[in-house]
Amino acid sequence: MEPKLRVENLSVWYQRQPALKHVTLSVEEGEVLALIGPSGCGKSTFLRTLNRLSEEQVGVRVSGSIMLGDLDIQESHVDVTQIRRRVGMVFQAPNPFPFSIFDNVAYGPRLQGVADPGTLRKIVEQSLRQAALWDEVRGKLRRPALALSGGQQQRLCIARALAVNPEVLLMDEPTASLDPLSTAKIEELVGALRGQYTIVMVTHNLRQAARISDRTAFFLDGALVEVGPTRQIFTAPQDNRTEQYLTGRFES
Amino acid sequence: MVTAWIKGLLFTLLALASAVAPTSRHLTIAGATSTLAYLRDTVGGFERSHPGYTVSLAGGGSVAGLVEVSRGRADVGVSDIPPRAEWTSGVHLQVMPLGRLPILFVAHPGTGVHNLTTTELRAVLDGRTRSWKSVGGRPVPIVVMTRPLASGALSVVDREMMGGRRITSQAIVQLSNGATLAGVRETPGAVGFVESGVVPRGVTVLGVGGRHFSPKRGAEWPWYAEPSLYVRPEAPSIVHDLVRYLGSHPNRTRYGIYGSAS
Amino acid sequence: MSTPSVTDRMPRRTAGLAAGLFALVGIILVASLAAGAWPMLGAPRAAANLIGAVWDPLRGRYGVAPFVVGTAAVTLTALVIAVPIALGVAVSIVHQVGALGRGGILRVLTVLTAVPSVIFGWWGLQMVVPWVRAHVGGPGFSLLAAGIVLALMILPTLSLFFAQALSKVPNTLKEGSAALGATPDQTLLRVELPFAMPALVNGLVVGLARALGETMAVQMVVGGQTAIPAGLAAPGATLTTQIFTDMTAFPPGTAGHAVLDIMALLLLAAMYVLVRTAERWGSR
Repeated sequence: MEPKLRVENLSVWYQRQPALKHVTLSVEEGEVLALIGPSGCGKSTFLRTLNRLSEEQVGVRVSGSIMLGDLDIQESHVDVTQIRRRVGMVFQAPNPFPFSIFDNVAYGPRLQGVADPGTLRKIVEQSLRQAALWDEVRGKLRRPALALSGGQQQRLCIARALAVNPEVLLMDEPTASLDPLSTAKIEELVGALRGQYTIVMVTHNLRQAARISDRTAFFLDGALVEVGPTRQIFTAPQDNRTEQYLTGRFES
Repeated sequence: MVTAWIKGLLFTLLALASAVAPTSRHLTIAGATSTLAYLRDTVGGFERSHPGYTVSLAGGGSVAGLVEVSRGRADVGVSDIPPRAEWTSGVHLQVMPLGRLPILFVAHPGTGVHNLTTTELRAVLDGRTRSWKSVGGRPVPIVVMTRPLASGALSVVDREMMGGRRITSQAIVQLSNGATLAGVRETPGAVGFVESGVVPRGVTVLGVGGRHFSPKRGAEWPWYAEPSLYVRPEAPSIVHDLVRYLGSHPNRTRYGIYGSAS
Repeated sequence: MSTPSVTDRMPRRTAGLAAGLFALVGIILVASLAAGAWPMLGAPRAAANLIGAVWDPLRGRYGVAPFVVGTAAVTLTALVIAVPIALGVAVSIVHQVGALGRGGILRVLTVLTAVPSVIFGWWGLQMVVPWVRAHVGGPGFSLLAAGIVLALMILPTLSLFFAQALSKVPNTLKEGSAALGATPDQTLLRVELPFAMPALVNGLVVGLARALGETMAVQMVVGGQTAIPAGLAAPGATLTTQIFTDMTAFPPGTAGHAVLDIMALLLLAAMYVLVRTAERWGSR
């Protein structure tokens, strides 16, 4: 089967500083891929290149190709807003807009011109159900999103991303700022979304990667060291550096 | 240290206060701006003949001049308007007239009008006549320019020209003689009045009721302000000397102040 | 040392003293205005006289309506012109120009806020009055000319406040919006402006207060007509310019002075209402 995402020879520079060097990597449709590695290894940069969010920053240069299906998203004629509708993103810290719960989830569909209240209601309910938040917020959709707890806010952000019906979901350490209980809920949610969405997730939490990912990629100093089935990476890594990292010999 | 600072502050305040209060060494004149040029150029002669004395001038308008001198905040007040009790708080002031300062009626050069009867001019100023065409000029709307209520020139025009009518409330109010002149010069259709002993440039000086202004016969022009100097009777003799000097200086005609009002 | 020494407590005491002094000065100001206004307020049929449209103090007619209308018209004109431009400037500062250009523009704007109003008035007299005369008609001295001059005067202040407000929008929100497929314009309209709204309103009130209170620049171009203005191209007067124009004609104690005090109180009350409204808006 064709991979969902095929990244070839991807390099990224901030000003003149290389952040990512010649990364080649494929993501299969419907799988959960975990990106691990010490801080500053380039895994977040890699993630933000997949929806071209990295180019919002000044002085970023990207080379190589990223195929989403048969579309090379790096090509200049490609509409970046279209890519971002197909590749959703959830950030490290929950970042709900200072609107109501409803308006947060309806934000993406409204951008695409959906204005019919009935349709919007349906999309919002479905997205909140998918993000396992519906039961907690039903009947309170007009309340401000910022009144929710941190974990709820992060699930709201997932619902907001799902509302535009993306094919790929990028998650940048989505549980980094959450308590263990909220973390467990998010992990459970990722498990439920597996198969429906292609998920690429950066995490610092090795156990989390082991628990929920199908495959794991290990980055070091801007390079991809190795990628493989999660069980294999954690039990029998091919590369010596992977093993050193997993056994805690790098500062992370 | 703190007490030293407070002492310093108090000392400064005292010094400032004594500088503001009128003293016998430093004389202040305040009031109407119409004769400011004459006064400014003439006080130098007084200072030279009275070594050790300095004279400073401040504007503020006729009413302010009367208020300041009657409250003792200025040694001499200059005013085009006779004092009223509500301004002087009942203080009786001695007066020294400077002479007559002609008030000219001026119009934008593009109106096509050079002469008006008194009745016509009155109707222009009070807003009944709205176009220069009605008084024999071009079809340009009339724009009246006047001065603030505190202006001496306005009070003369009100009393001597308007015959009991008021200048239109749609008139543009210019804050000074110079601003009126500039406004009339630049605004098509404008008409106004200025205190001037010479023929101002760039505007049409209107002949009124068959009379034409000429600086040579300035004393015969029937509309004039009578700028006068006011002092408190109990003022030191040096102040009376100053007023006599300014009120009798032959220089006055050079500044458009004609004859003697008495 | 367990208890702070006298010198340690000096800064706070000085600050407290300053604040107290400031409040006292404010109270004295309002009290003296009220005391000055009192004789007029107690006069027979004072309200009817004051609300009237005829200003002829020498005959006892003290209608302030022309100046209330003038103030409202000039201020609104200024805001209608200045707010969209200031927003545009602020957006370009925050989004379009690089860090280097941004610093330069901010510095220029800061300098412009310090330009004395008489300069703006002078510029208005040279440029705006003739422009209005040529393109809109009338004598040129007009509410419109005053509004344009004021707009230019408050533009730097408004731009700075708006830019400040927009730059406070967290990057995470902008990225969140972009990640959902929003164009930069959509992010600006749907996330940045709503988020910055309280701060934008705050800036608007500062600009509005400056416009309401400005005297010199307005006086030089507004015309000073004391009748209710017939339109934007007609001359008029504002509360502040009329106080300024007639101040010297009415020394304290006269009825005219009492009316000027009332006009000043009116202006203070308007400012107070404005600030309170903005606070309520901002805390929503």
